[in-house]
Amino acid sequence: MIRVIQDIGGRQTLLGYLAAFTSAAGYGAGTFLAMLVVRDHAPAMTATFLSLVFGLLVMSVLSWRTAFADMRLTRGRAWVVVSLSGLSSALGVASLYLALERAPVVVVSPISGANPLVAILMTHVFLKRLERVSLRTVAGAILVVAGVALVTIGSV
Amino acid sequence: MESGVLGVLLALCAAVGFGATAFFARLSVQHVRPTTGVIISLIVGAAVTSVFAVAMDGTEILSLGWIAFALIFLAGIVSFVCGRLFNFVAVSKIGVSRSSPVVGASPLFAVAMAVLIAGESPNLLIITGAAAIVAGVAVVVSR
Repeated sequence: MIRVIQDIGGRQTLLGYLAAFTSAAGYGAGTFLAMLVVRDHAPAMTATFLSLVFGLLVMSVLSWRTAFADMRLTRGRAWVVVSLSGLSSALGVASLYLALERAPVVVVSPISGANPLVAILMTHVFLKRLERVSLRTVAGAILVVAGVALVTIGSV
Repeated sequence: MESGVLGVLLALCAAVGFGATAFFARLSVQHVRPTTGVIISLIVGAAVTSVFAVAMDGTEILSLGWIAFALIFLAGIVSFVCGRLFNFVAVSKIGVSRSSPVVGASPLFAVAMAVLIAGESPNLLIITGAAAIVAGVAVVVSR
C-alpha cells in the first residue's frame, strides 16, 4: 500500500515538473511573440490587455462548463485569493512596463526576474503548513535567477 | 525621485507582483480547479490592464492592423492558455517552491526561440546564463 502511494506521489511530481516546463516554454514563447508585437505593431500595455482578453476567451471556450460549476460553488475567501492572483500578475506586468520606461532593461529585467525567490520567500513565511522550502530549492532558484540575469544582460 | 531609482523600485514591484502571483495561485488551487483559477485571474488581469492601456496608450487599439491582432492572439494563447494554465497545474501538483524556479527559467525558451526562429546568435554571457539556468533547474528537480 505504501509503495502504491509512493508511486502515485512520484507520478504527481513528474506531472508537476512537466507542467512547469510546459509553462516555462509557454511564457518564453509568449515573451518572444510579445517582443515582435511591441517592436513593430502595438504599444506594450495595449498588447498585454488584448492578449489577456484573447487568452480569457479561449480558456472560457475550452472549459466554460467546469469553470461555471466551480464558480457557483466557490465561496468568498476563494474568490479573494484567486482574484489576488490575477491582480498581482496585472500589477507585475504594469510595474514592469513602467520600470522599463524609466530604467535600462539590463537593470530592470534581472530584478524582475528574481520573482521565483519572492515566491519562495512568501511560501516559506506564510505557507509553512502547506509546503516546506528546502535549501536545495533555494540554491536552485538562486542559480536560475542569476542565469536569467546573465541571459538578459547578454541579450541587450 | 530620480527616474532611474523609480525604475528600480518599479522593477522590484514587478518581482513582488510576479512572485505573489505564484503564491496566490498556490492558495487558489486549494479552492478551485486550475482552469477556473486561470479564468478568474484573467478576468481580473484584463480589467486592471484595460485601465493602464487606456491611460498609457489612449485609443491606439483602434488603429492596430490584422497582423498585430494575429500575433497578439498567438501570444495570448501561449502565454495564458499554455503558460499560466500549466503554471497553476504545476503549483497544484508540486507546490510553489519547486515549480517557480522551473517556470522562472522561461527566458531560456525565449532566447532559444530568438536563436532558432529569428536567427540571432548567442554570445558568451547568454551561453553562461543558459548553463546557470539549466544547472539551477537540475538542482531543484534532482532529489
